[in-house]
Amino acid sequence: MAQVPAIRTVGLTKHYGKTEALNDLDLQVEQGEIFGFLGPNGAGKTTTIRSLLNYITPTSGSAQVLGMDAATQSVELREHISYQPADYSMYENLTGGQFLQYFANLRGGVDVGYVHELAERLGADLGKKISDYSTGNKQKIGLIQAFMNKRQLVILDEPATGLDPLVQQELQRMYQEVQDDGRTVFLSSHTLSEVERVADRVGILRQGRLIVVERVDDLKRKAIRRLDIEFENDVAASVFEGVNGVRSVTARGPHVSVSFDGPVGDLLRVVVDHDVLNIHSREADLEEIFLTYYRSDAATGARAGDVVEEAMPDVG
Amino acid sequence: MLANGPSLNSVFSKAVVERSRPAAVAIVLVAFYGGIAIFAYNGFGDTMTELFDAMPEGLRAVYGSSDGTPVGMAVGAVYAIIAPAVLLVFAIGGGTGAAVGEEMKGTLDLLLANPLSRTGVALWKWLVIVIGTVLIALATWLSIGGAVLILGKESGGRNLGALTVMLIGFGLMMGAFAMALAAWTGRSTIGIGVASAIAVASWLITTVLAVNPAFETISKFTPWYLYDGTDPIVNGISWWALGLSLGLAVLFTFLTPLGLSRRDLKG
Repeated sequence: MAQVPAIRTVGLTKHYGKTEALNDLDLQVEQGEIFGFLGPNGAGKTTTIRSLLNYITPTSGSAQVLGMDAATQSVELREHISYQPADYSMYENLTGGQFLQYFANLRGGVDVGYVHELAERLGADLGKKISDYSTGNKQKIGLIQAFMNKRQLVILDEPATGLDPLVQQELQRMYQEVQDDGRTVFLSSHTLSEVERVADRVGILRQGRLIVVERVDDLKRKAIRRLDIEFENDVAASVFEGVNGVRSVTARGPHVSVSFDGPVGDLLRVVVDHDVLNIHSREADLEEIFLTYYRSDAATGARAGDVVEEAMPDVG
Repeated sequence: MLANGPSLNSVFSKAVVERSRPAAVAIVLVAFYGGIAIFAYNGFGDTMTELFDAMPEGLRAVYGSSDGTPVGMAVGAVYAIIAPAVLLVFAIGGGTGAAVGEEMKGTLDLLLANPLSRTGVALWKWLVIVIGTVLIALATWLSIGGAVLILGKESGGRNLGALTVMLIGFGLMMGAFAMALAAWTGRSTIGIGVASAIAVASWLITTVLAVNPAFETISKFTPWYLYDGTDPIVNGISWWALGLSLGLAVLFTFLTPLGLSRRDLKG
């Protein structure tokens, strides 16, 4: 029997007055994957998560979490998930340890040894009062409460906020451990590099609409890549006009940057017609992909296929 | 264990600890003032009676159904002003806190990551307020009754117990009203503001303004009338008034989950 999806939304829509926070979201996240949910602030990521948890009622559409209806079985489904919100307050009069004890008691079945292990790995001091914590330390306590329960689905909204790079690396190992355990991580973030390293698939949300769901590898393959070329002499951007795959060109004297997609052969044949001093290929990262998907036409200075030539700046 | 303490076992036990301090302050306040009032008014002896007799009717009404004796005036001052005021602060503040306190502080997002419902959280916290309200009212009764006993004064058939029971009904009704208002609007200020305004207005209408014929009829249709309007200190418990107070408290308690469920959690 096939596993039910970890998350499944059908036509999920949320309007606040005339504002469309989320529009007709069809999304399916399978169990056992790390799913990156990308978009800038205000794209609808948190609205989606709050709908999944029944914190807010969608205007239309439906959501299921681990096969349970988000609207009618919200308490039951929370037995099987853990969650760290993006913005939250904690009980300032408690210590980190007391806070975690409270949450462990509310759920039951939490391995205290594992809680201490997580605290050590993230470098969290459980003895201090929460009111004395920095933003990063509060974030660590929030993360520990999300991981300590070992639930089937871990939903994290902007989990890396305020964490230093070493702790972020540890966090990525923790995602991996959840996946190795056959469990699911739903990772909402605008920190693209964080998602790129760990996610199997990503969904990109723009202005409340899901614009793409792809495997990270596939997305990279389809992405626009860039060649930075240094020629012996000045080369006009128009040289690359009409070359198969070329999306945009920026030329500054002998320095040319070419954005392209698809096979690089045609482009290279044009390049080698000139004296090349140096050539540097940049692998597409999710940042570029994200920006490609996210960039609205109105805000885009150079569209696909545009050729831009800049004068060599005066030196002297 | 990460940290010991019974307060961390459940939403209820945590709420008990959180509300124990304001409840203790309220109990000490009414007990202290109640005891002091009885001894002080009694110490003034006949002067207080003469003062009471010289008061305009509207001012006398502030003392509830006092018989004009020093002890009667003290009882009136406590049960008509101090005890209801303290109890309402606790019940109305606690009621709104139960409905939207964690939501407004921003802690509910994390709390509800656990298998809890918003309704469950609110009602467990409200239960603590109910218990606290009963304890504060009982403390009022014990302090006044105790002081009267110590002075060896006759209570003159005055039914402090009945008045205390009516006070509990009144406090729960107004607290539950504030809770339901906060749940429906998502704003504690509305719950506290509207419930407090109604309580004060109804006190004025049923006591001070009731001597004016223009307010005579309306004075019988206020929340305060359900508490003190039937003279429970003389006539004992008015079962219809008590039943209506508690019935409304139950109704508002049932309306609270409906208010919470129709409204998105603020984020």
